Amino acid sequence: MLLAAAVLAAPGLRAQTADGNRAARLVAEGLALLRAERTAEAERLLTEASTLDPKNAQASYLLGIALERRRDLEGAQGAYERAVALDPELAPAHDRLGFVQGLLGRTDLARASFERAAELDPTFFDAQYHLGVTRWLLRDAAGAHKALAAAVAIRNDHAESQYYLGLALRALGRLPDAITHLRRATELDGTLVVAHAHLGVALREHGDLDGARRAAERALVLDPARFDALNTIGLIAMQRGDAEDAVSTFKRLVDLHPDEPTARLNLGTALMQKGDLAGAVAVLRALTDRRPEHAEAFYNLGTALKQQDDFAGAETALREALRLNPALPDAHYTLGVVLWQTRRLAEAKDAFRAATRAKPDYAQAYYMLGTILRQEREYHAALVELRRALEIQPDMPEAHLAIGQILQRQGDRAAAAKAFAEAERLNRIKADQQAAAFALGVGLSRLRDGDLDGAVERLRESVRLDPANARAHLALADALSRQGHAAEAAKHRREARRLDPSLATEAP
Amino acid sequence: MRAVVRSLALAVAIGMVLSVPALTSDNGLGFSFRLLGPDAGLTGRIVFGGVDTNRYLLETTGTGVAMFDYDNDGWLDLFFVNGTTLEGFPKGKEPRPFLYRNTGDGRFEDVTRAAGLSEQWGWGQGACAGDIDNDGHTDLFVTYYGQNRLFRNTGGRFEEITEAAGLTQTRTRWNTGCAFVDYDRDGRLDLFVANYIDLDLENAPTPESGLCRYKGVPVACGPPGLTGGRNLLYRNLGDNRFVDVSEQSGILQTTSTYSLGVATLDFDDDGWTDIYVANDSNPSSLYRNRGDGTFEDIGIRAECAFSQDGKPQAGMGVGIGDFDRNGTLDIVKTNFAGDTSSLYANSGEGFCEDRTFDAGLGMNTRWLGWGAGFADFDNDGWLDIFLTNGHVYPEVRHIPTEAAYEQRKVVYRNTGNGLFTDVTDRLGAPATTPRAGRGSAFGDLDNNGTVDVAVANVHATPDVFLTTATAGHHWVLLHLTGTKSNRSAIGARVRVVTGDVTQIGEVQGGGSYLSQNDLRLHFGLGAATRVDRVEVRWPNGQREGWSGLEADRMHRLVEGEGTPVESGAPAGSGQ
Repeated sequence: MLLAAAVLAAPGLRAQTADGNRAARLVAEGLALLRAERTAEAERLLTEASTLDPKNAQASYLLGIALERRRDLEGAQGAYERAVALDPELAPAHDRLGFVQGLLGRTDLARASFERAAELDPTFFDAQYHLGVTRWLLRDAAGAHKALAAAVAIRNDHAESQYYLGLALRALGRLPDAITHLRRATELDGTLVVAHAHLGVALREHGDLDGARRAAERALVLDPARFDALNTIGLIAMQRGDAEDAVSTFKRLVDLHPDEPTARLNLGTALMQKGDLAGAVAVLRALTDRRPEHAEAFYNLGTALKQQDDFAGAETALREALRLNPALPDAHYTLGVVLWQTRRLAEAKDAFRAATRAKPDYAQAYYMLGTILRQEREYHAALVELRRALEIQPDMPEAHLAIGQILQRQGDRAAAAKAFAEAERLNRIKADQQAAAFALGVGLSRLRDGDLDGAVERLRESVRLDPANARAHLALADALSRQGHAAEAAKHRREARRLDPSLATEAP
Repeated sequence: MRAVVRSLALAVAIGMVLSVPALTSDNGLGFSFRLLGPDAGLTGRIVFGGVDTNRYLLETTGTGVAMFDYDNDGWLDLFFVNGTTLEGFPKGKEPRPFLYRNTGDGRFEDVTRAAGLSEQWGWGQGACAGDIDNDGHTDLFVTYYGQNRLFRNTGGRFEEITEAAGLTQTRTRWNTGCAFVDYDRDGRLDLFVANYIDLDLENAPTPESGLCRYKGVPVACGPPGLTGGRNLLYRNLGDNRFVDVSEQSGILQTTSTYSLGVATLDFDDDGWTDIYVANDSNPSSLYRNRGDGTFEDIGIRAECAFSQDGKPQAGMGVGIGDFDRNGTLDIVKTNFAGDTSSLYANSGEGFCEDRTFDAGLGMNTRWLGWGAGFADFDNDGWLDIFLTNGHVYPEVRHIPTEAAYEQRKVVYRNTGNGLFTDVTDRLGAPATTPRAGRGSAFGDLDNNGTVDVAVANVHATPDVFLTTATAGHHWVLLHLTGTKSNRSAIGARVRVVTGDVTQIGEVQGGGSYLSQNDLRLHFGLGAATRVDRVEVRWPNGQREGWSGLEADRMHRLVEGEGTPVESGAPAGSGQ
């Protein structure tokens, strides 16, 4: 958890007895000493104040701060607990109590304390921020988002809250918004390495590989061994099909973080992409030897062996992955494919069913189940599974196609024709998107070569084929700007911004 | 009943075969392969693009081979298409195709120049053969990236008649597979030409663009992202003239493109020849002949277009045959690496049943397939499968993987129960010898009753896999000659009955990858020493029968010389 500055609120003084008056004076002096960073003297005065006036909540609260400063966390916790017991509406005390509870690993208690603080004072930045971070640590992304959004609304110049808000938004699948806040975090604090690293992660996931690489490289300047930044660079290389670069990056990652299984896992995947299946199997076998509890390693090993046409080896590895973690949907799925390819249909169906249990929205697994049932001429059951796949993922052309084929065999030609038409429409869209991506690549390449006319021609083609591709609009805008067609360029820039707000400030 | 069986004088029985000593193999499979190469006179090197790197996909696809008897001496000859390079060659040094005359003694003689075929160069692609003018001499069509060429066989010599035949193309097209087919049953062979990509070399991206990678290595771009080509159908008007009927015949009414391998077949057994096309990165096409001069691509609807899990595949070559002996013609198709080949069983009800995994073809995904064919190598009456492999990109040589640029063949033996077994390792060399194979043609080169395979390799001399059957099974080879139908009998459906076993075959235009298979039909008979009955449905729909054909012979069946068979008797329904 990131440390925030402790809140040294100036508590209001109450009408007091003589002891109470003295205690109040001691509290005021203690506060001044705390502000002057003279913690030991403050602690002595505040202890005395608490003794003189055991019901003085402010004394307990400030004593808690003094104790917290000298890392007496248990003592601080006790003082804060006394403070909130004496004054249940003292929001700063709830917040500090939560903070200390968090440091002591009592995260659930901390969350409750922060929630109380934020409830008492919704405009209390620290409470909202701490609550957000704590919820994030407790994997409550939605709750974290709520609190952090409130924190950022109170104070938008705090890098860490922007960073955590970005993390929460990414976890909620709101990548463009996540990128906006992660980028804001890096702008507020250029040294916040985690923000640069996670901005790289988010940009990569969003498909902005150039931006992702820039962010990851900035993180590596700050911390050359930063795991997630280097990992992002390796993953970008894989996404770009540059397996050679990916392999060398992940090898470096393994050297830097020899005990980090993800590094070896990704090295194995990169070797698979490179076509070095023997190398991949060797790396993954070594990983499973080192970490025999690592289910994903066995899963990747199974995948590599399958690509080597070693179906028996693949089955063994995949079954081991599932023994270690029965909740791995992709391992169930891949095992299903292996069993299907080796003519064990009943077992394959079981595997695909297990995949859907592990991941109830696993459209492709329902589809495969439907495919096998169709193969077995269990048309009614097949239709159920295929339609379930389409409920989850309506743009799956192969499922429409399979449904059409079944309906055709059942003699319902009209419905079959409708399903075929939908499959064809979706396939056409996919083909157009593929062609658009290709045209975008060619256009950008020509732009780099200074062939403006050629670039504009290809980029127009890309936009025509896939009007929802924000990057194509942005690239076309850039090319048109260079040609001097400012108005048309602005139109495409606006469209790019509308389609993807996170691209707004990005150059093509 | 008049049962005319005209055995050719030169029909050969076992023993009258090539003089090359046969190797006996104890592989237990009932057949083995022996390699014929440069020592047998097959010395011509196929040139096709860059050796180590390719800038365009144009340099990757290789060439086909036609197996036909150009001089009517009873021995199948070989025509290998040749390509070129982007850089080109000095005048007089251009790569030329190779026509090899089969001398019948285990050797081949380069007769390209003498036959009038040496003066052609460029980006040759595929070849198909058929008697376009029904004069008894098999003519030759060669496809190009660029202008295709039609060669009329005047009796052992060829004359180019492309322009006079009306086959001049007004723009550069990437023509690939081709097949002669009498689609309108007028007795004249028409011509189907597949097209791959509308490739504009001036504007196509190169590997240096960084846009196209395979396993991390920059490679030639496409076909996805490039504009697809559109297939062509030419109608034979007679007098060696053709007219483009692609539009009015419905050939253009398809959503699929990137076409490569082509084969004819009567998929629905209605007497009108259909056309199957392997498309790269697209659903395959099955052009159903509607019998009225038009076609309809029913590939998707008939379930013959996608992988078993409904995905488009990178189709390359096509083999046609009745592997399950249910009386219908089935399809085997080669695809890209990382995928299986496809095996479609024809249900006889208008559908393909994908048997790829059921039949045991799901076990090989490493190889990148091109040539493909069904052939009964051991003459047991069940069609086996031969697949020619080799990677597209020479750059994969830099990738440490087993399935490199040069790859081994894959041979599946049909075990007769719906299953195939990969027997490549048991066959050993030359099947396991890595080569950058492309087009392959199937036929009995040495007239010994076994199906041999001719393979065009990239940047290498060709290979011939000479088959020796060792199980003692019997066979029959049928050479059909049309008289009212097209003389090559392309489209004729044959039903061979031995005891309670019925097999079917069909004379096919094109086939495999950019290639032409033997126009004669080979049947393995197992233990049967004679054929009880042969029924032929000629391309014009007339049916005739022959009875009591001796095994281990080639028989010429001439249209009009058999016993008429009442219509209604199906050609299929075997077991």
